[in-house]
Amino acid sequence: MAPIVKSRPGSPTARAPEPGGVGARLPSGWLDAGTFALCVLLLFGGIGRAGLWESVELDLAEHARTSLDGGAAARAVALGYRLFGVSAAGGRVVLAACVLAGALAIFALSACLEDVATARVAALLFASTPMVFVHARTLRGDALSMGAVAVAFAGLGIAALDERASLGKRVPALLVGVLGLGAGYAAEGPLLGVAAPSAAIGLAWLLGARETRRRGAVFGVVALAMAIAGLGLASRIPTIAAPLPFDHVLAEVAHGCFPWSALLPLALASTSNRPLSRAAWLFATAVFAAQSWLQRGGVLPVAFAVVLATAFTRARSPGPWSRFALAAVVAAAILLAHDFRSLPQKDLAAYGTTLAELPTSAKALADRGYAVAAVLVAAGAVGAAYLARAQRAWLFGATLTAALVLRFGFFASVASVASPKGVFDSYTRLRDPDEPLGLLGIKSTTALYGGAGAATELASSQDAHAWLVGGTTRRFLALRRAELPALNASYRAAFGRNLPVVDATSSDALLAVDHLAPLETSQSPLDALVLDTAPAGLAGGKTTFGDALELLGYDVVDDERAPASLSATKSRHLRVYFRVLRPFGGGHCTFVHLDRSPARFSEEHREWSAYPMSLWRAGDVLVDDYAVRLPPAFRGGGDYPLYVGVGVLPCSDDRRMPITAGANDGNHRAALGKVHVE
Amino acid sequence: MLLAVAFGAVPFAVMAWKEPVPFGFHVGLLGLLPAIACILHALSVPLPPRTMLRPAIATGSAALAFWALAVLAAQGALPSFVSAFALPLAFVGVLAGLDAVFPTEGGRPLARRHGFWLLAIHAVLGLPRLGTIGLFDPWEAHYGEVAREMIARGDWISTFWAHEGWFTSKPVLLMWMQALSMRALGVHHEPGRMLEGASGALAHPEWALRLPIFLVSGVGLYVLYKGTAKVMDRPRALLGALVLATTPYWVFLSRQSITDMPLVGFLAATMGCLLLALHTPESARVAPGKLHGGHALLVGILLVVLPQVLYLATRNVALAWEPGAHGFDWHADVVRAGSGGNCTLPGQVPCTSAPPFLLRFPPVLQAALWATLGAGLVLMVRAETRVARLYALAAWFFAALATMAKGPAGLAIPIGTVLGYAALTGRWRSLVSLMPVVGVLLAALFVVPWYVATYARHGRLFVDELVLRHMLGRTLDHLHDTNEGDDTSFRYYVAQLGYGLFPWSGLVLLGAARALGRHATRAERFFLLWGLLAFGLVTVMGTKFHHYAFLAVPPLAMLGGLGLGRLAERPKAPLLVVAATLAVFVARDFFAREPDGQALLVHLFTYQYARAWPGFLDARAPLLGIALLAVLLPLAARFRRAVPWVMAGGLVSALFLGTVYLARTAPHWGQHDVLAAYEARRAESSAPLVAYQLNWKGENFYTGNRLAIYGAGGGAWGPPLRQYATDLAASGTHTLFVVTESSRVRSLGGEMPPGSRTEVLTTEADSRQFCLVRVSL
Repeated sequence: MAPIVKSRPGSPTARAPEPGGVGARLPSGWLDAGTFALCVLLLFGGIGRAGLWESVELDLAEHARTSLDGGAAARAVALGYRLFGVSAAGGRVVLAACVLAGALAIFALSACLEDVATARVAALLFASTPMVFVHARTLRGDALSMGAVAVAFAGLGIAALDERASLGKRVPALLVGVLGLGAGYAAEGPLLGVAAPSAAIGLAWLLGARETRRRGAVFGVVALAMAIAGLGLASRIPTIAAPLPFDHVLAEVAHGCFPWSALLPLALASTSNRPLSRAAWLFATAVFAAQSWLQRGGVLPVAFAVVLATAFTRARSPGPWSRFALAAVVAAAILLAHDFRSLPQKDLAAYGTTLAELPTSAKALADRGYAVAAVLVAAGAVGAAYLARAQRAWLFGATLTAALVLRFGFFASVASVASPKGVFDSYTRLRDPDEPLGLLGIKSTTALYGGAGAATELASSQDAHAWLVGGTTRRFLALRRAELPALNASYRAAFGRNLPVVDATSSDALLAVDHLAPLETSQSPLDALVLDTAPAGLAGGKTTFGDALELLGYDVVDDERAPASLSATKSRHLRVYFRVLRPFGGGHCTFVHLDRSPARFSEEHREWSAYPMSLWRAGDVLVDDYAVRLPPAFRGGGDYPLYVGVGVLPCSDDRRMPITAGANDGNHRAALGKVHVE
Repeated sequence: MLLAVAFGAVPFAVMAWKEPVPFGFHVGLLGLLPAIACILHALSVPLPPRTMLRPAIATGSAALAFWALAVLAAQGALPSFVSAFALPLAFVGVLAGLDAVFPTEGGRPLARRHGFWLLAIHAVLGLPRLGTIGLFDPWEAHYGEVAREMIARGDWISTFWAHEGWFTSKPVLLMWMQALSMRALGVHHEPGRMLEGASGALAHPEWALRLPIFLVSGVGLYVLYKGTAKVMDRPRALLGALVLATTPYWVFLSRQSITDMPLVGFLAATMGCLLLALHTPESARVAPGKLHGGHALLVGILLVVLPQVLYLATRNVALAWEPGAHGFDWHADVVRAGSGGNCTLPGQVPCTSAPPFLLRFPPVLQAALWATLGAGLVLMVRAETRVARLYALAAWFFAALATMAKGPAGLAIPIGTVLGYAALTGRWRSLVSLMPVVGVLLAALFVVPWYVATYARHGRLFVDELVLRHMLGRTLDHLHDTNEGDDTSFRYYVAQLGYGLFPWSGLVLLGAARALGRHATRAERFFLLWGLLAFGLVTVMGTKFHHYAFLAVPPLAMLGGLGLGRLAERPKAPLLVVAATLAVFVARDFFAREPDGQALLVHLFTYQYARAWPGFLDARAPLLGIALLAVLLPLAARFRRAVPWVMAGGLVSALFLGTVYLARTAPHWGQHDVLAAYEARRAESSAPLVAYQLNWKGENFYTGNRLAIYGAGGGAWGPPLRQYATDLAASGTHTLFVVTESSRVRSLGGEMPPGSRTEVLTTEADSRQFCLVRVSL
């Protein structure tokens, strides 16, 4: 076991990394340079690769481009436009620079109050926290707030709490802190931008040892005065009428800061009365209180990074972590990974906004990324539990790797997938010079940021259809996915086939054309749903519902669309085929029942949001695709009766579209015979 | 042993008798207890010393007084304020008697026995108004009605409920406890007589349903305290147990007759025994020739196994003593469906009989199998003299009871905790002393017989529905939960624990931080691991209800209490500020989210979280007091002398929550008052009662299911309500009472025959949610 080294801040032992501590065996200069380089890579690497994510970024981007009424963040982005040109990357660079300034400030504070090894950990931890690097690389306002508050906290902290610092060091630090407070005030207002960092430092000074209080007296008092001033200004902020529960801030950190958040038990276990730990916890508390009060957030990752970094210093925390604390880390990693898997909205918690919706196509990537990250953290914790000397380096390395996996895997891809930039790139690639672009549900400014040049905005699907088919040259239309069904119905009415789509790589946007060029194939997502003719060899007999729908039969396929049988343990797709005999205007649902008395598997599709019933026209063949995961009662397999019906909304009773021809079970369910379950 | 058989014949005869035997429970008990005593004598268990006789008689007298008071309270013959003092007093009398029967080795006086004070406080917190507060719908009334049907139908195997038929969502232990308690307290289980008390008073059957829960809660608290005291010390263990006893979760669920306290209470006892087993030297042995805890364990095993064996045997034999039929009548088992005495009412399940699924494995053979295995187990336990192993067997005993109450979590959590503890401390050898083989046999002997009996009768019905759908299905999927729009990530239970541990929420954070540290004690680490497992289990489960977090409450509260005992040992200032701030914002939710913030506590154990808080109820002032306590608590931590005052504040808070807050909310979350209004009018008129578009279960329990059911969603029997009312009028009955939700009165009017007049008889003060309507036909 490594010798226990008790050190005080400022003593020689506190400055040098301890044996077995993080980064103990490399020369200090290389490590510092490496830390800085990795921070830059995390924050700036590939910053312009993803286009503008319209629902998340367009507001701030446009505020910055057209006026300055978006507050400090808009002014910062506008500065980026001035320096680097009007583009998504130009705006993001300034925000990333703010976060880099925050990382440097945290480095400086940790180095002054603890040691350089802790400083490296804190800076890397901060820059590799998803909530931090995502905001650094996205046109949202929180990056500026994080940078400003980190600088304020660090400046005031060095001035008031660094026992070794001379006046010549304290005064500039104070000035930097005040500068941070000013930026914080502009970005977040008096409570979060001013009162929170100042109160944390002021209280940490007040609760410190007598010697600390004496040496930093002036600066501690200044911090307290700033806190009081901030609180005074904040008293004018109206109280929130219906606040969110107390724990909503916790969720922000837990999911938005994963994988580092899984190490929170270690931070709790390592709490001490030393200046950095004291200041960090008080800062976290102040930010928690302010964010809870204001019902908005984004700054907590700063405090979180410092709090967590204090768990990694050997100087402050002699001896190994308890295995029970490491078991808690494993448990936290498992629970958070479970959340990411089962709750897709948590995958983008790092964005801190409900505007960021996870593209369906990115879910598998998210699941893989978070699972790998959780395994890395858990492996790091298990390894650390059985390592006496290098447990901190081992766990830090494992968790940093997990963070890098997320940064360069899932998060690098999701922005690209969610942005319509791919659609505009395809348009630029496929068009001839005189072929125009129309937009449906997408703003022309987005096309501008995407490099597609001028485009025609169309107000409705009718307008879009008329425009698309009304030209003499080939026409392209970039549209939101939600607009496709109505447009497709109009197109089918005119041409009897689905609207051709030449780019469906974006989660939110598509590129349609009025007709395909030779060798082009359509990528329309509706091609699997709306057919011209039914496939041959379907099971089950034909049944007619209300002279409006004809059930043609069904088939069963696996997740790869290969023919299969239903399974009690594996997921399958049961596809029922309907031919529309006459339009009937909707107001119905379709359902399947698979009975295994007393249990039943039942699923229903209300209104068919993917292709609403109101759009169905005579001759269309619809594929009703049910994802089937049978309940445990079906274990053991067997042959069970399958029923299909068409209910009347809200489909909570037995009102159904009557069966006018075919096998009726007596309750207007088409009896399709027995289906085999493996 | 012959004497044991003779005594055992008494409960056997009571169970086999063709008709219900008056005072059958009491007669059966008077046969069962001597039979167990005779078995123990046959096993060479020493007789108690003569010095024990007088205190034992005194204890028995106090217990009898407690029972008599409970009977009077259940019959409505004891005013609420009298029962609030008399029952705790009688309970303390029992404790004092037990102190004399089992004095401490050092002869500590009663007043210095921490365990005594813990249980006395438990009585003061738990008994006042325990049975005078109405049942909360739907769960309490649901399980209570299943228990009532057990008695009414004379069937303690196939659980049955009203218009839905077989009740397959929970294992059977709670319903057995409730039904035995109803029999012990003389509650009228017959259809239509549930609220019929002594001398025309309004009965309070809630006493019968909740007293077993109170007792289980006490067992859990005490055994957990004992285990913790072994590892740490008595004062700090007492603090831990008191923090647990005063958390809203514990206070409420000690007063809710649902499966959660039997699970968690017995689980707490399991963990207490495990602490004792893991920290008792393997060499320690019981004193030969003297009574010891192992003998109490034998009594416990026999009390659980013998009645089951006797009951199973009587499913194939009936005893009759009437003209022309004297003696035993051997017959095949029969599966009877239908609500006892109510089968012909509209909406109820018709009465039917059917042969069992497995004819070749009749109950009498099952009884023989379990009796043989039980005898083997008793002999193995009798032969064990190592103290640590006896504690381990006691742990298995309680874990088996927890599993009988709510399913596999009762075994999975202790086993997981012990395995984790062994892995993290490297004490793998300690697992051997936990007697896994005998323990599994004991658990199987407790848990399996009922499942086998239901399988033999119903085939896969109970296995499919209870095991696969309700146990496995709830783990993997959402089943019946009401969380639409809520964040169901790990955060879901963090929020509920914040409210359910209040005012100790901040303290628990401090305790957890200590337990994570390098200087944590063994008990703190054990609780940490238990808490992690319990929290992890409920978090990964697909189905989520607020009260599921109760599983994690004992370890977390114990950490908080142990932390309180160690706060004066140089607390870390930043964490104190964190704890106080957390308490501020938890408290803020009670006030800032007006008026529903006040409902956050009642939502800890009820079903529909969307139900609005009645605007005319105001609990803000006392909640403010509790909030102040919560915020000041961490700040007062630097002063050791503040601890008793802080604890006193916690006790007052718990008393308020258990007696005032619950009493005020119960009418709006249950139907006692509405159906008491019907009971009062029933004396004047024999008009029938209809449950209209109602499926909150209280209507079934309080009427003994004597009601016609229309539009409850599950039943498809009987004619439409209008036809029923028309037929009634034609038969000369011109008045009809209807119980329904207040929001459905208008649609009720539309379903009545033309010319009918409806009159709402209850007010919002009686219940905001439910009402009683008189329909004049």
